[in-house]
Amino acid sequence: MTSEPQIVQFTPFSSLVQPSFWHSLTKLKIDVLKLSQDEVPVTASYAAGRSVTDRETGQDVALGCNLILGGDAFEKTAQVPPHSVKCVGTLKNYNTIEEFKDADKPALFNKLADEMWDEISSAKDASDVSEILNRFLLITFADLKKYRYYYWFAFPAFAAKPAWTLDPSGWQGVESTFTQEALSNIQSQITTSTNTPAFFVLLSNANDPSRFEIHPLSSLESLSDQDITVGFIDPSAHSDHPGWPLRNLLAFLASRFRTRFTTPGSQHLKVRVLCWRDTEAVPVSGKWKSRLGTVSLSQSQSTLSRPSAVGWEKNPQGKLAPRLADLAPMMDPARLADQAVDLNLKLMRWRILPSLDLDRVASTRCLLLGAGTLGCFVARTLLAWGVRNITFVDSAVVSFSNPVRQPLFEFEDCLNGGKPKAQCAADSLKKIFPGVNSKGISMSIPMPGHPIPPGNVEQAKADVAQLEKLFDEHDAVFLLMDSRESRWLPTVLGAAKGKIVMNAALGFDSYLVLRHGARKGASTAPKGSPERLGCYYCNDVVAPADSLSDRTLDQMCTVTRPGLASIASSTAVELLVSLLQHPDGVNAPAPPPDYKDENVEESPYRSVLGLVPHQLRGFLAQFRTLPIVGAAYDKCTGCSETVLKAYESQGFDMLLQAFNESDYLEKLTGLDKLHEEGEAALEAVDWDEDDDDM
Amino acid sequence: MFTRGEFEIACKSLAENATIDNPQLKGWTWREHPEYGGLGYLERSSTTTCRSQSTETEEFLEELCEEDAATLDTPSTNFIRIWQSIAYNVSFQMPVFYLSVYTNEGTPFSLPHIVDRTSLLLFRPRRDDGDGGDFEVSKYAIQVPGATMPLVSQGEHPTLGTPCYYLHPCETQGALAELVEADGRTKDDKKAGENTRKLELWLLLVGNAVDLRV
Ligand SMILES: [Zn+2]
Repeated sequence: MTSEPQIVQFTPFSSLVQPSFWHSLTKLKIDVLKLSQDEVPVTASYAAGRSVTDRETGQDVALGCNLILGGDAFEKTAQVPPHSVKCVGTLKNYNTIEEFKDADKPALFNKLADEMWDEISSAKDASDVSEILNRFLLITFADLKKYRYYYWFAFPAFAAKPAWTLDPSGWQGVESTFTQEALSNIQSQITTSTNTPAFFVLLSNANDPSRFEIHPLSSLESLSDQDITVGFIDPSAHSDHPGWPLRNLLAFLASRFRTRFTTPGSQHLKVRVLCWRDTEAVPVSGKWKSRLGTVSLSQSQSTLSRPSAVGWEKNPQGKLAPRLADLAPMMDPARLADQAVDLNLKLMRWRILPSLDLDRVASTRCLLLGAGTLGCFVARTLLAWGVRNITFVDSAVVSFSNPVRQPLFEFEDCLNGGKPKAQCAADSLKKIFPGVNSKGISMSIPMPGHPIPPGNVEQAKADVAQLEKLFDEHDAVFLLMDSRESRWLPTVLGAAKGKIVMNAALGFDSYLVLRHGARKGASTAPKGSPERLGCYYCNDVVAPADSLSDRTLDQMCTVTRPGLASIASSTAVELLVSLLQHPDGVNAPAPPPDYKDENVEESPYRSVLGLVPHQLRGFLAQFRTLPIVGAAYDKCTGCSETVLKAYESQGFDMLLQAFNESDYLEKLTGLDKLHEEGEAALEAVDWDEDDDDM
Repeated sequence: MFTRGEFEIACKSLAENATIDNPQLKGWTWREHPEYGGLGYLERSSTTTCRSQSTETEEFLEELCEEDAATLDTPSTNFIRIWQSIAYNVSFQMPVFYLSVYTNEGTPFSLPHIVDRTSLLLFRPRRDDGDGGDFEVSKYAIQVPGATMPLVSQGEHPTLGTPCYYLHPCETQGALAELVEADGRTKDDKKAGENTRKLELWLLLVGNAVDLRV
């Protein structure tokens, strides 16, 4: 009784795609393929089958018959890992998911199988057949917006009919046939060749039958009747199932060397096959993994037409359907940018200033009143410090003169009447760094001496209420507007609400950066330092009247040296950051102008980042910056207690009076009396403000 | 600690002994940038049996049909693939350890995913005392509380430009100097062996933070 011979079952290839391959495909699609759907060659490799020890159960688990694609798959000189076999396949990338879905897959598959069969049956020299036997097909669709890659592999293998059967002795360990010495010798021949041979012929040495030699497949042409073993690097680790490459090798042998392998007097092909699986360290006796077996095919005559082929890869759910690689977790650009900003700053802290409190800077919510030249530069520098909450307030629209000087705007923003600057600046910040929480509010800030028509009072009231709310929602306020008077209301609100107020103004080639003194003042102001530092209006005893309409055009359209705005803006932000790092924060005492910074740790003036001056006046004509300290003025129209108390007790009514009556603030503070005494002497140095129109 | 030249020499010697039976030292291959010299790096790949989830492609139905008795019906097992690389960092003058963990499809695992799979134990910080939770894991960083820099964060591989996780070199720099000092062998050995030994010591340090078994 003979039992039914067992069919040889082959372990199919299973693809293993490294993330770097998808990055390379992305580059290829963007730089080379663009919209082309041409087929491109792609290099892959496989190595001898391996098992790994399960860390939980301690059992050996056979890894799949892996065909590996790496980042250099599209390189002409793709490097293949050591002891691996190089395979060249064809990649076809589709531009849309629909085209990918609708592709005639059987046609693509059959086209490749036809080509393979043509080359197998026509190849003059059997030595160059190795690459043909391992050809594969890869179709892809790369969704570059979502970093998702759909793909499907096919590894065409010619199916023998009837199938190859296994001799009753089955697949056996090589140690039952070969000595340890012979095996080591075979191994060293395989592993030391420059290109690991995918397929080979194993012959015993004519002089010493215990020794074996590796020959290329082409040697089959010339070999006389010898005891031939055909070998291949076997990517399968299943003890009873050889890997996929053997299928096409057997198809090739049956087609090309039919008579050689036909047992005399029978119609049976018989091939002794060595499945080589030992390519790493030389195993100790008893540990060799390579297998040996004899397979037969009962085929009465050679097939001239191409046998049918199989080999589409199944997806992880076991279906014949495409697979998906999702690289979004590591590629989402918003998250990458977020991390990069943090990392730069952390590096600074780690390298230079371990005690720098970056969180304190990053968590400071900044309100930028004015989205002109100063506002744009201030926002960029805040962004670089990791500040994540930035709100712009501006009533203007982007004009054609803006983009070259104001780095958050582009030519496009000026078209169709111009976009509102505040919102446009906020959107632009998000474009630069999506992680920022930026807002833009179009609003004009009411000004003293600019009467509000009765019909607009409700609107003004609403605007003031909105501005008050904005102050409550932010920690630091930058005064970067284009007029002196518009700084008055924010000065009052900042002082009343105890906010950090940073002020910047530009002349032609000089600038002023100043921090407003806190209302309470430094409780422990060192000797020589004012108890309370002044505001923008303290040093300038002219009440903020309507200077806009008084000014000539030249004054309105302030001409400033182009580099000045970024110098002043950066100075303002750096002053804020130094202040935030000072233990007293907004109450940090200002060093006297003649203060010699001896780098004394205990100095009351020092923060981690050094001194926190009150005012900086810069003169570009001399490339000089002067620190200045100015005390608060008790008759100041912006920050004096009289003004603050009037605002706190009367609210909007008081503000309305200030807007409508040009002499209200002077009367309130008693400045009018002083004024009469020496009007002419009071023309102070006029600090022109940032202006958008030039 | 290393010049680029020293780094290259040490790496190549490590790669030459790739068959050595030491989980930290074996299996490394030296790779060059396809176009430019002086950007070489070491790499190796490994696989663990911890099962991973593949992304379902629901939008596709089974499209084809192949009936073939000679094809082994393999169970669709997913493994976790681990790719490790050692590249040179100019500003630290130190090797930096890069890591990427992904499925058969090439879908990378996020850091919380890697750390959550306790059976994987890729990162060691919680190991020694067996008490977890003494480090914070976010989407792209592992931070040891109180430390100035994260232990692990996401970054680009310097030669390949692909996103990976990497171990910050700042902590290893000082520790390596101490180890080299304590290790007599680096001084006595000849110059060539010295760098290799230094790289081995560095890998020992990396092994404290990352499970280097392959
Ligand atoms: Zn004042």
